[in-house]
Amino acid sequence: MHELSLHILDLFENAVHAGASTVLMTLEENHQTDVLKIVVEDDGPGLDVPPETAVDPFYTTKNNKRTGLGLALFCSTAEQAAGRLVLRQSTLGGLAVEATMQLNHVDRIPIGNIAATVSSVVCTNPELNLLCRFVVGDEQYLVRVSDVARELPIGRRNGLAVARRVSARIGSGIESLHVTQ
Amino acid sequence: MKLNEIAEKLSLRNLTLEISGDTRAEVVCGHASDLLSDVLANAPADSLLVTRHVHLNVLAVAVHAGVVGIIFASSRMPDERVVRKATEERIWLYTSKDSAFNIVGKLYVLGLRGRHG
Repeated sequence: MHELSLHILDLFENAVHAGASTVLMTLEENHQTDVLKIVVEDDGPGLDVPPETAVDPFYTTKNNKRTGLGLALFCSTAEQAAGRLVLRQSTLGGLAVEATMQLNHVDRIPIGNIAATVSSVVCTNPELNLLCRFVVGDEQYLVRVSDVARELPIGRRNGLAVARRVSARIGSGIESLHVTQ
Repeated sequence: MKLNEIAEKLSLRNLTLEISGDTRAEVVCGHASDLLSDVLANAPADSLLVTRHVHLNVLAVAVHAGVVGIIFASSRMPDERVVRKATEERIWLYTSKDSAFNIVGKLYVLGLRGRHG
């Protein structure tokens, strides 16, 4: 994967596949400590195997597949930028996947287009209660998809219209916080 | 070209001697990359992969992409678990003292080709 947003998309898909109804993504930059942290957490059933099994590339929850590369590759991506991947229980009740990386590490891949990633998830999962939080230093910006949907007249709250608005909202949040690429 | 001939001409060390069967499979194409998503997307099926990656992930990606064998460049060595799993999955593993650049050059001279375009 050449962008972190693709790993994030994979985590969103995992959460939906696990049956979560609420998913919170946090992208946090700390320039003082030079750390980039990405957390995707949900209210799904959580892990039913040890974390080390879940990151094994030959472990999958899908019956028709022999490999499960998502978490394994994200783990490598984090490690190549002097970071790590931790799987823990979320305060939402389900799984939290937390990746930390050195923000300015030469092998840290770019964040990519988060706005497009999130809006594609909104478009295909209109019922999902999705929250995106961006934190840079002391400042933060939260986009709650359900709030964005409510801004639209009831008859126009379709997946595409909400997705477009979410994309614009995330774009302006990223711009106002000067999130690093 | 057959795998065993390639191994001999490039002085490769076979790490998966326990795979039953022979190494006389014909290989006509190859791929070189350290970006595993690129291997997934672009490695031709039945190709030989040249990489510095020795993590279990590269093997899972090779299984997914239908790669026949992997040559680890610059004397890189996978751990036992990777060799065991490769033997199970019947993917030939080789290691070479050469850099990835030199390995690819030699494979090209032997007639192997990468994906076009």
